[in-house]
Amino acid sequence: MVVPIWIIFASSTHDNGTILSQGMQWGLGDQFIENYDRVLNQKGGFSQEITASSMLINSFIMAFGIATLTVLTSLMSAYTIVYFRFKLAVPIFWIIFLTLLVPLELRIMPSYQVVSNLGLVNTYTGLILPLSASAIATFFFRQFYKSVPDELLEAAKLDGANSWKFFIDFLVPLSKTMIAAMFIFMFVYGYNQYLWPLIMTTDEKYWTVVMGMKTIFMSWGVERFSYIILSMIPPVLVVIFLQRWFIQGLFQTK
Amino acid sequence: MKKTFQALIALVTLVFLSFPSFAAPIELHYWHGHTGKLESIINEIANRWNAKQDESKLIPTSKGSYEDILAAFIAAYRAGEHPHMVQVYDAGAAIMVAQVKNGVVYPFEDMAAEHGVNFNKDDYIPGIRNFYADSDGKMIGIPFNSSTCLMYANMDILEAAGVTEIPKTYEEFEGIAQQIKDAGYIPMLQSHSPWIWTENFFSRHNLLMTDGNNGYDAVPTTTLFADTPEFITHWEKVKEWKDKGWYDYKGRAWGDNQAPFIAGEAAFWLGSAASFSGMKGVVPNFSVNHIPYWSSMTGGKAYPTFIGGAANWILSGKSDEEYSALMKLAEYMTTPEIQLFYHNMSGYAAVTYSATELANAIGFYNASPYHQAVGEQLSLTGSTIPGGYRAGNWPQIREVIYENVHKMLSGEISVEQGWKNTDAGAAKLLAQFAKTL
Amino acid sequence: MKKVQFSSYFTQYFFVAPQLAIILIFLYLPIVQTFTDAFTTQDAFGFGRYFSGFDNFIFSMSDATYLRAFKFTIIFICVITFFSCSIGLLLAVQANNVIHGKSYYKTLLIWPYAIAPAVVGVTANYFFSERLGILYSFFHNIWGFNWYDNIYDAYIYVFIAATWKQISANFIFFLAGLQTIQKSIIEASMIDCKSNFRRFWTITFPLLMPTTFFLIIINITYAFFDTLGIIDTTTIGAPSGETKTLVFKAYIDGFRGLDIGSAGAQSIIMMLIVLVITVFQFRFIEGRIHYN
Repeated sequence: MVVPIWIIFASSTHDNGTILSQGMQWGLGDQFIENYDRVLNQKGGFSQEITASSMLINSFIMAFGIATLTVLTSLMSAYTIVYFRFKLAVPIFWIIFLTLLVPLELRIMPSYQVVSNLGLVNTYTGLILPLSASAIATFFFRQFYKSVPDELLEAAKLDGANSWKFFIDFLVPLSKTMIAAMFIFMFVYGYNQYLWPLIMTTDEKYWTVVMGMKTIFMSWGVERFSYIILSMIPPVLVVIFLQRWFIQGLFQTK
Repeated sequence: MKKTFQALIALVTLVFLSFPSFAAPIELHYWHGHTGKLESIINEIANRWNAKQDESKLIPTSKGSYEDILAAFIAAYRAGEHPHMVQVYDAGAAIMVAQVKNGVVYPFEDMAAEHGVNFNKDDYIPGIRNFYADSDGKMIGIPFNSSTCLMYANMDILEAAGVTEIPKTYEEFEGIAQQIKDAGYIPMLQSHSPWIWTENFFSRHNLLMTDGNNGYDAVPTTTLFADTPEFITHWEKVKEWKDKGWYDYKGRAWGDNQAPFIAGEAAFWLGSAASFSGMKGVVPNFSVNHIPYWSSMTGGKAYPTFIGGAANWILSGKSDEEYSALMKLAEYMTTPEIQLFYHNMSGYAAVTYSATELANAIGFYNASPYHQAVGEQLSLTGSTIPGGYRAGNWPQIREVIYENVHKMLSGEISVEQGWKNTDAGAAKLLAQFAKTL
Repeated sequence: MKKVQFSSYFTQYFFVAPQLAIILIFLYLPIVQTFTDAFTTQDAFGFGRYFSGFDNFIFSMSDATYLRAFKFTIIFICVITFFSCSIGLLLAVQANNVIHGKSYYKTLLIWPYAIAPAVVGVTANYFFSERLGILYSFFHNIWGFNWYDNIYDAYIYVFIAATWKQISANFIFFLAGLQTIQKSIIEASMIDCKSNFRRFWTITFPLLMPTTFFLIIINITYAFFDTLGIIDTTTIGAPSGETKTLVFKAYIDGFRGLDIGSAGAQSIIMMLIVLVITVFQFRFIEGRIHYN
């Protein structure tokens, strides 16, 4: 897994000529500082105000927003579907689940119209909200909740917990690993979005990393590789930050 | 006291009246499909315009690529969020011209007249002008970046192989191909089977590509690929060349077929006039030439090719004031000076005669001979076919061409069968488009 | 269903409301539009719109390329799902064992999996390009690999790129699932059963079934729908359209070809196919999963 990433990194430290003639490299070159400096500071776009750093920040905001909102809403929805006895539980699950079957790319123009009618074009809200209702996340948490032993709920009820208390004090802490996993997954999903930001934003200050990759750095230059390495930083930060939650390991009690 | 006060009021009023009104400049939004170097050239033009006057501010936005921009702009139009002007490419011309009647697109010629803009129709090079005009010859799109397919030659390789003259015809190419191959180089590559060796085969040899006079007289129902013997012969030759190692096929992507030429491994590469800006400084010693033709098929005559690239289209739904500003901008962009600047930096053709005259007047082509080929090839006269084609669903038809070209070149099917398949696929797509008119 | 449940009217709707609201507004409205479009003929801008019944369906399905895309999609789904699930599981199990041991391996193991999907889309292209690609030359030296020309090589290219990306997701979720299996159970089972292999299959794997079920469905959905990005940046359907999946074809027809009716029709067909597969799985497989 690490090997391809190493190759990209190594290639990013060479100069153009080497890459063009010999292809990607295994060993390190000597252009590390020059290449990265160029990529970080090269101003692109019309306003000359977009740099790789500003795009990284945009992508981060968007991905973070999507991941957070998704995890929150689906955690709650899955809870309802599994732990509450009411007629609509199953139909609601299927309504949510069916959205997996029509991907964004195939309904992008109507989606854009909806967003525009709500006046959300060129806003972070418009970028984040439509992508934050993930059936995958709801399905995932549903699976997890179903595998939680009933004894837990019985014990909680004996303690006098109502549905809110049970959720916040018992279920959520138990779900930490799952939450971390889903957060990472949704973060990367949001981070990777190309088509939606492209169609939805007309203002350059909302450009994301992936958009920048295709427009500014779409050249034969070696900067591409440096840019790719830089674009990996936000996901890595997220993982490092979340790893405590992710790895229960020795600290699991009960 | 009262008198002083009145005087003060008068003074303040006078001061206010004498200030020019600081209205914010009108923002003109322009979407284009360029990236990299070409994008920075557009940005430069925008900066110059904005610096030159206060009334309007041009804000160009790149939408990634020609295909993406078409979809993005349509989505935006349906949501009422479209820009003032959008750049749409040659394959999208049919769609845009068809939208005049639906009120989406405003014809350039009409708008220019309406807003009193200096506009001399005959100044535009006919091949360029007619491509983006309707069947009556009225200019709808504003020609902007007009390229055509040209042949790039690596002069160092030619010298090493002992070739002294650049071939003008394919017959001449065949004469020297083996020599180049023996010297260890790839004789020929090309980057776009649909545009270069289909659409522009027909143009270069003065042959009609679809019925309905290439769509200018009637909505096309079929393409004439398999029905044109010269075309079949050409592709049979291409297959022969591939088998002999005179032509190498690197798949369908533009870049993959260009890469060996840039790396100095190939003698000739058929690309676009616009490829110039990316090549300068990378390939040491290259020349830009007219694309070859079969002398036996044209009786020795060289016909002009179609333009490629894109045009700028004026979209509806904006205020009169904005259109007035927009037309002034359009006028600016078509002045000889700006055209020459764009021509020089990008390699795209100068679209008017006055621009070409300016170039000649300052000896431009002496300093930079690369740029001459595109204008020359587009200005050739004597063709009897229309200056372009008007067929819907053309991007899809290009897909069908890509698929069949591959099968033909790998020997899976015969050349004739391949083009018959393409005709069949194209006919279906054309029928589908006709239903929407 | 859980044996013990709540029934609080307000709470249950409150908890499900946010997601439902977003879905109904931002997903269902567009979906309804797409489905309506499937039954109309219109130009790219929506003009000249008229109801045309099943015309679009017939037009799309009567294309020879449709059948080809269909066959390829089925093969594609099976291969991708199988390999990415099994490799993901394998790697997760190994990582799990390591994590129980040394602590400084932790970070090193996980972050490549978080990054890979973001990177695969763009870089698969580089690794497999004739000029730059290490993987291209590697395979080329072995058997003359050339995905530009050879169908099977193109298949392999696409399979590798799509699988690589999905292994990461599977890894993360399997690992999460493994981590939540209580340590006490593992320790108890270690006493009962010395063989790692047997212990895995008799104790661990059944406990992982909820996660596995989830992942199989997600993988199928992924392979069916979300891989169009991968295909768009790798082969683009090359060498001559053989590596187009159904969803990619619909995307090209709709987005590039601007034939909204046809794309809508194809979407409906695809949705029905996956719906059938999924309902089947829920009915027959989920019943056998022991949730706790």
